Amino acid sequence: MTVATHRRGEPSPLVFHLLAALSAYTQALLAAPRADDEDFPWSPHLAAEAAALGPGLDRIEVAREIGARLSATLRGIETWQSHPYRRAVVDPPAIWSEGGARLLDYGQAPEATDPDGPPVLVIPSLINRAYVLDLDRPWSMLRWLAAQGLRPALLDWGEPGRAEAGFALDDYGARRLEPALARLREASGRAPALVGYCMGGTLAAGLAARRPEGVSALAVLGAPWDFASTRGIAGQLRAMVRAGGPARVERQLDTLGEAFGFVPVSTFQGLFALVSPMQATLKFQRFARLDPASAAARHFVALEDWLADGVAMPAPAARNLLVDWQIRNATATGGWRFLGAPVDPTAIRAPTLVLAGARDSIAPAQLALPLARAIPGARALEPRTGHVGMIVGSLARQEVWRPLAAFLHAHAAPAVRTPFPAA
Amino acid sequence: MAQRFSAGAKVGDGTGDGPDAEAEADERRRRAAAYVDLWERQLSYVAAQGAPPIRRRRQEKASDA
Repeated sequence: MTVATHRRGEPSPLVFHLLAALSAYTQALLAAPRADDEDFPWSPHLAAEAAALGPGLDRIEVAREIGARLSATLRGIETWQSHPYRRAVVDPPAIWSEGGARLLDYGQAPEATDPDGPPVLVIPSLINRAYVLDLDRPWSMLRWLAAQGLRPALLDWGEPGRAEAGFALDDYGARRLEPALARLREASGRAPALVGYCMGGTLAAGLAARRPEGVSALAVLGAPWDFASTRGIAGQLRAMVRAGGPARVERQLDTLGEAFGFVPVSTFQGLFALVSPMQATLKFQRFARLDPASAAARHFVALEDWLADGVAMPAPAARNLLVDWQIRNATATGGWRFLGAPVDPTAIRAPTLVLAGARDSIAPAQLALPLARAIPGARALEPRTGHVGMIVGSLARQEVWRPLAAFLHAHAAPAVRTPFPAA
Repeated sequence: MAQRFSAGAKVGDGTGDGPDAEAEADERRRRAAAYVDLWERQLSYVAAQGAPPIRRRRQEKASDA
């Protein structure tokens, strides 16, 4: 097996993924003799199927099946690492840049049908690269929106460098988000809509609340808002840190920042792995069953490449995200200060659409939908997608892109002849 | 729905076990695969929703007795 020279690393953290799989499957083997026991703690929706297994599972066959699945996982990883696919997408022109950040104007992309269409400032997460929104043809939400007559402009945060060292989320708001919004408003001559994805959606809501006069509409996709839930592994981790007090986590983040300059991407990849320990194992097994030359396999590789291509975060911003938001729940309790004052979602005046994926494990409905309840008149949709699937999955176009485009057209600010002055 | 990964040599092929033994072996493999499928789904559920309430079920059983 030869690793493709352009491939970045491995499904990180690989050791964790493999140990999680070994541990989980070992437990499966040990528990097999009791699988049909009425006291066995199957979750309620699986109990009937478990009972139907009947008594006396053959443990040798279970072991053989587990061995085959582990082999498939490794085969899937190797197939990804050696796959020839390489993203070959040319970015549209940047109409603004500052530090590592750029504002990419998809109104000038070849797919655009109306360069003067309603402007939309698209705000991605800070944790992963912005290009998931323009992954590749035909999985580019931004090019599709441009083809529908809109003018999306992607705020690509870029890799934090010297200019962003020490940035908190408020710095990203004041020195990147607001200037980008002002530039798009100046270039288009009208108030843009905001579309935010993941924590970019939470930031978009903060901007819409703090600067309601400059925003025509707000749409957030998979944006966490209320972190009170203790459901699942992620919720239990939050509860555990809350119980012990967040000071220790803050110290660890500061130490990482001092050691590396930033909180490294592996920290975030480790957290993602921790909240869904078997996800990587299972998805590489599914990938191993695909024809490597198929469109589905290329799509998988494109997404894995994106996942492996994360970015570091300045320590103060990571503290805001992991402690102030996740642990202190500052967003939902009025304690989040952004652009100089606390964020009050009832201050949002723009028509709002909240999209919360029904299968989202990063920003599940219990974290995302409270924002829709907090914003007066907001509308909520629950597409049958996961967190990333909301942007690039097989149901994305039908259940996310189309309603999003319709919403943005319906609430576009009227075009004016005299452009706004530059902020 | 069981998703079989193992190809495995077929019991009964040239071993003198006959077609009944082969069918039984297939059934054992099918049940093993179904069980591992269930286990994976259980873990995904627990990751997203939390563990089933083991203690309560045991307490209920004890109180029934």
